[in-house]
Amino acid sequence: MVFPTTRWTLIRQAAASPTEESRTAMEELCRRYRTPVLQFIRRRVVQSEQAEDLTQEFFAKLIRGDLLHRADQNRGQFRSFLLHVVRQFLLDERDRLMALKRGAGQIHQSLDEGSVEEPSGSASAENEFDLAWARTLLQRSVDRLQREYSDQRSVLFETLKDSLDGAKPAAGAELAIRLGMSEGAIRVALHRMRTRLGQLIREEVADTVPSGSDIDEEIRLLRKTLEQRR
Amino acid sequence: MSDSNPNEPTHLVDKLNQASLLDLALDQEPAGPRRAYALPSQSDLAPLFPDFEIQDLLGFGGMGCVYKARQTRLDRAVAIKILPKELAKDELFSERFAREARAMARLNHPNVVRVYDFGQAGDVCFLIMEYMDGMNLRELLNAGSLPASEVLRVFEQVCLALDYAHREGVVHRDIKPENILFSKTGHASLADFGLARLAMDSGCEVSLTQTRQAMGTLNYMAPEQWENPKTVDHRADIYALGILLYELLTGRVPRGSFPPASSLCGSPPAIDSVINKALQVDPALRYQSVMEMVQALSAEAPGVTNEAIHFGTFTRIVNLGGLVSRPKPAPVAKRKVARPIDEKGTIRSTNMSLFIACATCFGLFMTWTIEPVGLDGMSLAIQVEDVVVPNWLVAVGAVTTFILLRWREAVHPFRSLLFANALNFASVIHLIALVSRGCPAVSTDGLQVLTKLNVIPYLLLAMLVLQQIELAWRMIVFIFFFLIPSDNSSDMKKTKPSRAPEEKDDLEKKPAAAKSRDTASLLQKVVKLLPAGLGDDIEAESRSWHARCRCGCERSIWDLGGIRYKAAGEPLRFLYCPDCNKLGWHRVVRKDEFPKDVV
Repeated sequence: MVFPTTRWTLIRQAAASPTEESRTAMEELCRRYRTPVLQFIRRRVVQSEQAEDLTQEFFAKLIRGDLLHRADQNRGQFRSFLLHVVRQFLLDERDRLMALKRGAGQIHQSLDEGSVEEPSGSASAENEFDLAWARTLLQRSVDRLQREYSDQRSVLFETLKDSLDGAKPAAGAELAIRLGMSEGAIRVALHRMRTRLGQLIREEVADTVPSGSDIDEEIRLLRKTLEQRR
Repeated sequence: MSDSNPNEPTHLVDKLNQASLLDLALDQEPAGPRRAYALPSQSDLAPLFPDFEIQDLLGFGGMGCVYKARQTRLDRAVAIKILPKELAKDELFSERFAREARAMARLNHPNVVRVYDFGQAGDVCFLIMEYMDGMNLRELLNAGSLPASEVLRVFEQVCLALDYAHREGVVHRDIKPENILFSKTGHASLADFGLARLAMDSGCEVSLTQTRQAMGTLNYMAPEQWENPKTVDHRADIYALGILLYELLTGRVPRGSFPPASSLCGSPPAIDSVINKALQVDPALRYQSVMEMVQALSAEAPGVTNEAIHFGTFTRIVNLGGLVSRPKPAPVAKRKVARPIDEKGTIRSTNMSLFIACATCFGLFMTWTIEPVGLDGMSLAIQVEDVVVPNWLVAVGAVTTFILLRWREAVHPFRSLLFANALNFASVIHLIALVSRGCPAVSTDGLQVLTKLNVIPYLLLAMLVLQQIELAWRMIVFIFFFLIPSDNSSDMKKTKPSRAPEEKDDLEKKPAAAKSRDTASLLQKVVKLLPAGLGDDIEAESRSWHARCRCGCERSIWDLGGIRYKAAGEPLRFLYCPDCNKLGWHRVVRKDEFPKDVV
C-alpha cells in the first residue's frame, strides 16, 4: 500500500545535493518530455538544427543539476518547472551569444530575439508547450496500453483503438462477428481498455507532480489547455 | 502541434480526442463522492500528530490511507495509516482494534513491516508503521515479469514472514502483492497483518467491496473465507500463497481450471504440483504449514532457490526498488562473463616477468663468474651498492612479480597487484639510475665479447617499463570499476537498445555531458578497445570477494584489501559499499564462504 515517492519529488528533495538516484530519475523524465521542449525551442530559434543543439545542451545542463536550484516550492509541477527553466536558458543563451557577437565581431543571427520577450508570442508558445506536453503524455500512455495488449489481445487493441476516446465503434455488429465476441463483450472490453488507459495516464502524470493529490489538478490544467485550442 | 512539425510522425493519439482521454484519467479517482470514506488532508492530521511531520500521501485503499511522516524526535521516517473514520464510530471496534494492533506489534521479524504504535487521535484510529522506501510487489509486477530466480527469492521472504506469524498465532488473511513492500535494498516485507479480519469483523463494507484496490483481494481469498469467515485459520494464507506464486510466475491470477504455470512461463514443472496442492479447496488437503510448502518447493526446484541469491539478480531488484528503471525491468543485469584468470593477458605478463627474471639472473651470473675482470678497480662499497644489490633487486623483483601474478588467487588480487607494482617500479627506477650513470652493473663491460651485447640492460629496462605500464593500467581499471558504483549506469546503458521504440528516438543522442560524466562506462569502452584479455579478468577477480555491508545490503562490495580489524570475533575491513555509497567497516568473506541463506 505504500507507494514510492514520485520521480519529481525525489528530484526536488535531492535538489541541493543530487544523488545518483535523483539524477537517473531526472534523466528518465527528461527523456520522456524531450519533444515538448524541442518544439518550444524550435519556435524561438531560426535554424532548426540549432534547436536540436540547444535542446541537447539544455538537457545536459539540467541533468548535470545546474538548473535544479530553480525548482523552488511555488513551482509545483515538473511541467511548469521545465517551461520556466527552458525560458531562462534561452534568455541566458541569447545574452551569451550577444556577448560573443560583440566580443568576436562575428554574426550569430540565431535566436529570434523579438519573440522571447514579446508577451503575446510567448503566451502562445507556452500554450503550444502545454499542448505538446499533453500529447507526449497521452502518447506514452497509449503506447504503454498497447504494450500491455501486445499478447493475444493485440487484435482487440487494433480494432478498438480508434474508440478509446469514447467514440462509438463503427459497425458494431460487424465488429462483433470479426472478433468472435458478442457486442456486450466488446463493450466490456472497451470499457476495461479505457479504464486501464485512465490509470496509465494517472501514473504518467504522477511522476511529474509533487504528490498524489496534485494529479487531478494537473490533468484539469492540461485539459483546459486542450479545450482552449479548439 | 503535430502539423507544425513535419519531423514528428503521426501517432494514434493525434486521431483521438485528447481531451476525452484526459477525462478518462479524471474518472479514475473521483475527488469525493465515490470514495467510501473521506480522505483526511495533511492539515487535518497535523494537529493530531504533534510529534510527527506529516509529509506525502503514499496511497489509499480499503483500510484507509497511508501518509509518509517524519518522527521528529527520533528523526526517522514512518508510515502512518489512518483507518476510515466510519470504523471508529463502532463502539466495539476500538477494543478489537487494540487487540489486533497489539498482535501486530508483537511480530518482530525482518520480513514483517514493524508496527511502532497505534491509537485513536480525535476521531481517527491510526497505526504507525515502519516506512518502506521502495515499491510494492504489485508495482514491480506491473513493471514487467520477474525471472524465476527472483520470484522465488521474494516468495521465500514472504513465506518466512508468514511462517513466523503463524507460529505467533497471527493469521494474515489478506496476502496480495500490494501488501508486500520493498526497501530500496530489495528487502521484502509483509504489511497489514490482521487488518482484513478487523475489517470483516466490524462488518465494514468499505474494505472489501467499495474500492478498486480492495477488489484485488477477492482473487486471493480462500474458498472458506467466502463461505465461513469466522472459521478461517492459517491455511487460508497458504491458499493465498499458492495464488501469489502462480501470479508471480505467470503474471496472471489462476481462475477456474487454469493452465499449469510451467506451460505459460517455462518454470520447472515440479512447481506446478506445489501450486496445485496449495490451491486445494479443502484446507485439510493443502500444505498444513508454510514451512511444509517451502520445503516442498526447495525439494522440487532445488537449483532455483540457490540461484536466487546470485547477486546479479539482486542488483536488479535493488534498482527496481529504487525506482531506477521502472518502465521496464532491465533484462538481468549480467555483466560480461569474465574469462578465467589464466587466459591471455595474465599469461603474457607473467611470462614477461619470468623472462626478465631469467635474463637478470643470467646477467648476474655472467658478471659474477667473470668477476676479476669486471669488478677490478671498484671499491667493495661500490661493488655492493652498484652491482650486487641492484642486480639482485631486479632479479628478486621480477621473480616475485611472476609468482604473484601467477598464483595471485592465493593472495587478495588487489594486494598482490599492489605489491607486484611496487617491486617492479623499484626495479625500473634502479635500472634507469644504473644505465644513466653508465654503471657496469648490468652491462657486461668486463668481457670483450659481451661488450657488443651491452644492449641487454636497455632491453631489460624496456621490458620492465612495459610491464610497469601494464600493471599500472590494471590497477587503474581495478580501482575505477569498483570505486565508481557503475552498476546502475552501465547496466542502464546496456539495456537501452531494448527499450521501447518510442523512447529510442526520443533521446537518440545522449547529452554529451552525461556521457563523459560516466567515467566507469568510458573505461569499460577503453577496456574493450584493448587487446583481448587485458582487463577482462580484473572484474572477475574482485567479484570473487564479497562482503556483508552493515547497512544491511548483501552483495559483493569492493574490497581494497584495506585495513583489517576484529570486533567481537568478526573480521572487519574498512571498505567502500556502492549501495549505501559510503566507506565503513564491513564484514568480509570470500565468495565460497558467503552465506547461502541471505535472510
